[in-house]
Amino acid sequence: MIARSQVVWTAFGAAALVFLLSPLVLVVFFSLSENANATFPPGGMTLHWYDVLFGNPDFWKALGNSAIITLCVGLVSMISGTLAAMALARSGPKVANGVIALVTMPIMLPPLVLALALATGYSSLGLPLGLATVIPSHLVFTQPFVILVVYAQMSGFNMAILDSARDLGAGPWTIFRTVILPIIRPTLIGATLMAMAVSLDDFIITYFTIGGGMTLPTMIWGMLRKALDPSINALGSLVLVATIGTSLLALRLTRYRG
Amino acid sequence: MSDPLLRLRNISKRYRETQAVHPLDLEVGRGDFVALLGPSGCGKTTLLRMIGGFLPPSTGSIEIGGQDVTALGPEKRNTNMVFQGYGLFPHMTVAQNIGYGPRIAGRDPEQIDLEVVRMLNLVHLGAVADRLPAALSGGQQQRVALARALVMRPSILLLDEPLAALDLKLRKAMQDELKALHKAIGGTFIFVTHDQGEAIDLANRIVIMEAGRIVQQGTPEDVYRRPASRFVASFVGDANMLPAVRKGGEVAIGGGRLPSPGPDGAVLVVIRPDDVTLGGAEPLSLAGTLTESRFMGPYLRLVVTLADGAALTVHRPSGVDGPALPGVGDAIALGLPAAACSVVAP
Repeated sequence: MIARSQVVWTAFGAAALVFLLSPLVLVVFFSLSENANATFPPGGMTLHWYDVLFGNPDFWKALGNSAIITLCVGLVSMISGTLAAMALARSGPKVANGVIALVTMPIMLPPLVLALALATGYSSLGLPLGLATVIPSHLVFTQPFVILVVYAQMSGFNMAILDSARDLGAGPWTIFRTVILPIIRPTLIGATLMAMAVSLDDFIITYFTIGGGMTLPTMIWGMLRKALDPSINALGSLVLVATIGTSLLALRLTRYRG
Repeated sequence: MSDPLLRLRNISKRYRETQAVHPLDLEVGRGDFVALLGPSGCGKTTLLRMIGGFLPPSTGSIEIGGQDVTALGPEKRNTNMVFQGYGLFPHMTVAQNIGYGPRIAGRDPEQIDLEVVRMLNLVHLGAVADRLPAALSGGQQQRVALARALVMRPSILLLDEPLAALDLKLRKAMQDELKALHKAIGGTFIFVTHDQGEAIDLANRIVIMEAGRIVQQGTPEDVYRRPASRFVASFVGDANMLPAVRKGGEVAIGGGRLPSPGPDGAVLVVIRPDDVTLGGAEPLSLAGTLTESRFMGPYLRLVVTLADGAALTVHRPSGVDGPALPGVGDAIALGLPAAACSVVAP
């Protein structure tokens, strides 16, 4: 009996996994197939759609924008997230929990509402939309990840370590450089990569705050609306690989508990 | 003390509502091994952290070697601390932990290596120099923390409950090691403990604290033999406390009089279980009934109930031959040697 129910549940789980993941597999699959309509039969395998994509000047523009945004967001959220997490770890848990609830609110809001609020905010301030508005907008929802992850590690930090470094003659900067940073480095890099992955594949907030420019996700949206260009699958596959790659790396790094 | 190494004047610490340490004075001489002894929450760790510079005192001044260090942080004081949780750097090897202080002070790398090796030998850790702290036992971590502090050649080594985290057997071994270390390097050690046995074993001076105040200080023998208060008598070792009355500088007890200057009124006569004698040969003696006799290994623990219902504990070495003990339930006479009695306020 046990064996039979085990088989049933395993099959059920497998079916659920197939249902959840098959669209992703299809995107990659059709990006490599000769059939231009993205339907079956797929025909032979080809890298033709990647050639088409790389020949499209819009792709390079979008890639450049995505790279600028992702790198800026990663760098800024790493620095400010670490500073915030350290300050929170130093203040009591009461204050820290309050501040964290406030800071993480943007990730709990519906992205559409957040996007609308940001777009309205920029226009009421008279700020022209562009990369300069996308980057701070992304920070609103990427920074909480860094703060949360780094704070989780800092709050478990044995404060006697910092006291002993001070006792042995280290000033605040030396303590940060020789003790805090080496210990939190893997977590910090992981949290930053997570923030970058979230930034890289964001569509809604980018779409509302970028004005005339485009990033990789908004380019996909634009291509979908015009015509079913098969190179869209190639683009989708690239974004997929980049996002999953950074996320996996991030998970691996943040699992470290030194 | 003519030329104390450490001098605390009017030091106190107040947190919002609570007075953790009431204004107090304390002097520690060069080469002393001082125990700050008291129950948890008595302010001993707060006092230690103020000496180390981790907490600014609310009032008063701290002088080390004649220099006022009250305003200096721990990084600018020539004191080093062994923390309760050791505070070892988890990402550095044992050798790197020990070399940390000299390294950030910018000392010559070759000199540092020599110093580290010297310290590793001093605390017998040469074999684990390249391990991370997580791979060490509690006792080894403790020794790394010691070496890391001692390599700085502190004028005062501060230790916060240094042995509390170790199991009993290891604690005994570390006590011996600490004592040997103090002897070998001849430094000044101040340690915090709530364990009176540890304080008596290690320290040459014990400072007893209660509720933020120093209630007595002296040699281990002083505080054990001549407790200044009921609290000290009960906190340091076992004590029998017999209620009595003082009148005209004498306390009436055991059918005799114990000279004791002080105001008239109720007092307690303190006598240690191992000081009570059997038999009525002493001028001060009590009669009672033996109600309990327990074999405790090195000694017998006898409980004698007096006529007024008070119980007295008596320790008697278990290995010696002597007059046969009366059985449980029989009458027994006890002697109170006057020199072993101290009188405290009730």
